[in-house]
Amino acid sequence: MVGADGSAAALATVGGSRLDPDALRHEVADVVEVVRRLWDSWDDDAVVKDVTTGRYLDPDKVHHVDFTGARFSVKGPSITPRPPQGRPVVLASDALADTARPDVVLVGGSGLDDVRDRAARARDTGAFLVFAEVEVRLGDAGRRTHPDRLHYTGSPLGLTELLGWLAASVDGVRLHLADPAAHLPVLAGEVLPALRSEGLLVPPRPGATLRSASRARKASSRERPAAPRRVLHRRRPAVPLGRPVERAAHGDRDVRVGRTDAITQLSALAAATTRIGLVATQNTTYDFPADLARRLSSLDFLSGGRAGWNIVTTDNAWTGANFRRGGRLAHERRYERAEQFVEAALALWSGDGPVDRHTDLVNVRATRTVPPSPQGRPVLFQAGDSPGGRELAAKYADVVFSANTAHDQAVAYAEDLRARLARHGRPADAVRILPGATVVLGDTPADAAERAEDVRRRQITPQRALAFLEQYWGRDLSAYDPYGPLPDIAPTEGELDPSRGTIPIADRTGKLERIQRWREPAEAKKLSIHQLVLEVQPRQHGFVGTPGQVADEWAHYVRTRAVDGFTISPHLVPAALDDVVDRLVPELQDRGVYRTEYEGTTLREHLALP
Amino acid sequence: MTSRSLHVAVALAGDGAAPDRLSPGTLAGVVTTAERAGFTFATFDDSPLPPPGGLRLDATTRAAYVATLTDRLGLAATANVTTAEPFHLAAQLASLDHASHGRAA
Repeated sequence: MVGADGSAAALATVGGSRLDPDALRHEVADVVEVVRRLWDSWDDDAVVKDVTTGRYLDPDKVHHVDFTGARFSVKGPSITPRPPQGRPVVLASDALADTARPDVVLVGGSGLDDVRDRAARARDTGAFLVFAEVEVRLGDAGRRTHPDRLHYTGSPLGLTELLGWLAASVDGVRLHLADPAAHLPVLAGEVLPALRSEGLLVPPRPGATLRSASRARKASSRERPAAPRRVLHRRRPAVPLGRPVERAAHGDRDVRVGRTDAITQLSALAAATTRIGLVATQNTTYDFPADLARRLSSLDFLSGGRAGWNIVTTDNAWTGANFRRGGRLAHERRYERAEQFVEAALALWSGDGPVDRHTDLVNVRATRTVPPSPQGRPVLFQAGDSPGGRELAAKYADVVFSANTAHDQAVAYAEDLRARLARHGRPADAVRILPGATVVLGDTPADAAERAEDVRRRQITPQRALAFLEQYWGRDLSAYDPYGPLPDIAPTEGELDPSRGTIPIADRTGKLERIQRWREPAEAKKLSIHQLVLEVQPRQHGFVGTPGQVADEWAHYVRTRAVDGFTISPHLVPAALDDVVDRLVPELQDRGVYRTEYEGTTLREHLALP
Repeated sequence: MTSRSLHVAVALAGDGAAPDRLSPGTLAGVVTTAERAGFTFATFDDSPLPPPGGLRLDATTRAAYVATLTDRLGLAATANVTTAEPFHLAAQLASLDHASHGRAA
């Protein structure tokens, strides 16, 4: 449903200024066009989920959109796989019909004749379905709230007659009910059944898409734009679904995974769960503070206080080329913007009046419209391990996803974090430390070790081995066979960027020496690229053993205050998670280091945060 | 024209002056009633500015919340194009479509 507010107050929420009517028309046309192109950027059969090669998608079937509009440009492709409908249905008022080209046009009108005339004009613009806007007040006469809509006041029977009459000139009606809670049961009990018995209403079937239910433009919904598209890089491997692209993309032109928008998905899950915390990874570099703060607090309110925000920054050029602010933020100022962004969000959530902040990094004038949840505000998570990330955590975070999982590293990290907390005047127990952890369980220690090796072999596919070397070489190696010898070309001179990528910080310097060290055994033992990478790719610190062994190890971590818990990354969902739940959790409970039931309802309570 | 069928949609303003009006239980009740009645879709109103009552939750987040509570009602979330990042907007609505198995607008 296209909203088009070009007022100074609306634009001030994102640091912009008023759009004149002409600029507003361009903006509506550009945004709707690029959104449709992004929905089209994944072919219907782009997702292949090929287990043997580890490829999630077929890169040849995911396309750039290369859109340049009046006020922004978007490179694409979309991060989200093609929607089930191909394109979700677009609705707009008739004033926007020729710019937004909606599937469904909503027409107002001062009277029935006016509605009929406007519906006819809307059809002339190419609208597929035309709906009339009708304000409804059942019972006593009331105030008309919108001057440009039909207004009905009276009995349910009279409303049924009006709708029957409208069926001759429009495809549908959108009802604006004066009192939804009181009117809806009357509509459900009297008005809609009457329409149905006259054959005037066809309710949607369970499981039907909206596009099929509304019979909206089926044939053209998946048409492709005629312009040629550049096909994405061919030989990039895919990584499993759910891995954030910011961390997975090493190049500047690649999507290897799909994922849904976190807040949208977690909100759907909020209605299906009652206790578990719902933490959305959201970016401070390419979002607007007022919008993101509002969406997070909406999730928090609807979930009864179970939302968290995993605060991340990003700087790769590919990501930047998709956003209004793209490319405008210098790399070294990412954390500066992140801090100002978080402060603006906290100020909005505090509810102490309007927030009005204007710096060269954050520009916002907005008022809170979401009430506080039972936990007050979303819990703040932070994952960055660089000095900038650690400072951000020490200043604002409630929880850190540390990368320091080995016990000695975890102890050192906890000490460092506590020292930073003290410098910022926060108590030592203000933050929960939950390092990422992989867990492989077996019936015996040997069985577990064998399974762990098997997981590693499956995760480092030939394509991923090539991508691993590309990070070090700094060049496109797609022409090389992963089963053949190491690339015969020289790597680029520059070191790996210390603040990005998936390689541990300690391994990002001395790359030329490192590559030389790889060449020797590779030549001596005649190792292929894939075999070499299996040998040299750093092993993540994982927990491998019987459930009892891992539980003993974790209990030791917790009792020595190295961590407050772990963030498990299951290597296979749901099987590996089931293993943890069914086999590891009971052992942890036996050792008294894991809850046996939820003691509260909010995420803040689950974490025992102050 | 005779014997044409009519789609019936309901606009959910979603605004209020008291948090109770916005509660997940209220939202779920209204939406499931509309679905049982045979409405084709519900629209979730929104604006970057505070509504008359002062309070309102984000429309896409509201629509997503009811996605798992319904199985045929269309869910149309208002998105203001002048203040949205188009890239995020496309992902949010595509995600709503995934969560609702093809009922997003």
